Amino acid sequence: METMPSESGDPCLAGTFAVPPLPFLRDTSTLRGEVSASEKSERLRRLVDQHFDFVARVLRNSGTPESEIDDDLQRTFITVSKRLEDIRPGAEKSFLLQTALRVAAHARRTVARRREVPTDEPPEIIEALATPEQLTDQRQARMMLDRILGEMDVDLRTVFILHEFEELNMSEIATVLEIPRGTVASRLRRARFEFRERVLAIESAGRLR
Amino acid sequence: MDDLPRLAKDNPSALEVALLEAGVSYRSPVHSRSKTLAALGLASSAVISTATTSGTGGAIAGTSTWFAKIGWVKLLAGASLLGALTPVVYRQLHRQPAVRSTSVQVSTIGPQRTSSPSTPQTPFNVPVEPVASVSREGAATDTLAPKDPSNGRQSLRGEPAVAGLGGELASLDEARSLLAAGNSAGALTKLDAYNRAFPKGRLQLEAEVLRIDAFRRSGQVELARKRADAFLKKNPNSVLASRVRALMGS
Repeated sequence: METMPSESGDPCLAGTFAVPPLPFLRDTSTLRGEVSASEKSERLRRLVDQHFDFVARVLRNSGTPESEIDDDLQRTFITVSKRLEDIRPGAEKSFLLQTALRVAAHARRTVARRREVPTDEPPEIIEALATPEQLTDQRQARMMLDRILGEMDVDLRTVFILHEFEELNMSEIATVLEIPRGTVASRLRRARFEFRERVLAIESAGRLR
Repeated sequence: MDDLPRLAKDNPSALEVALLEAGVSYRSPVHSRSKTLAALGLASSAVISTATTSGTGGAIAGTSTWFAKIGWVKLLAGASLLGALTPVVYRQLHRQPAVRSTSVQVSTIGPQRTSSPSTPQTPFNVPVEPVASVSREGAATDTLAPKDPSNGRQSLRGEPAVAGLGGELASLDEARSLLAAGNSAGALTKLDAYNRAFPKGRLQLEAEVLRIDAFRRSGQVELARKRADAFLKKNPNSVLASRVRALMGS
């Protein structure tokens, strides 16, 4: 199970909630515990409601195979649920994002170990599919996207998906990934360049058919 | 340093548009949300989630204790104002034999929300049949009946007549509650009933984890260990594997 998302100081840490005393308590400590558990459940439900699709997209676009999505979604939310009291209200999405990225990284390492593929293996050649005009099948688009993103360096890929799919600006990405904004800008430019180069290669190969 | 425009707005080619759309529009499998809620121990919310996702394409289930509380308040207010109807409802509930209801269903009406990737999810109301029944441990357990003709009425066998994943979740929720209350035997009975009702249920793994825990708590440690070993052998990479290991203290 993933642990804390950051070693350099968690921007999401917060104090515990203050629970108001209730008049009919016999054992105030017990009931205070119950109120906290109830609040926690409520907050957890809201997290799932508000951010489930977001976490699923981040996991999938970060390389989690479709077959592992269910498990990794659960891992992400279970990890966050264990740290819920430490998360500053309003910072849940950031915490979820950091956790999801680590869960996805772990999944990629696990898949790589299973396949026993050396990390320095040359990238696979993307097969030329039908022309873009014929590319109407969403599944084909997803497969192609997986291939393109899979060939990107992980750091570039992460910045790319956060900017292009989740519409985070560079400052937000810098905050979440805890890297300088300039680094984000540099990685994003390279990622976009690689993405477009690969797409161009596919389109060119398609025209040659 | 100005932010870069999104590729989708930076003269994308047709293929780029298709690929970017594939990335933005990804949705997890239909029951992922319910399974996650079940894994978090929020199974009753997962019933709500299942109920609301099953009926509308593209709508994402929202659960909220605040709106359930409002529904509960409405129920109480309605019961007090319409006191004459309460005995009628009570008699109707207890017409069916055996299993006592441990859930409270609330009736709320409201607009349903359609989800989108960038909009936050907000609670919304699902119309269900109001039921007054015994709540467990003095606290109301809020469940919403899925869109099912039976509307959550008890069947003659005493098992909830709620089809699909909603029924599975409700069944496991009851087993979990019995276990939390110290009634391991009752939990095991409930889990046996779950297996009979849902022989090919989608939450078999979750049920097995509960069963292992129930065996352990009832003192049948060796049996729990045997089942835990079998579970881990068969599902070594499951997200539930770590929970099983934690239960068995390994």
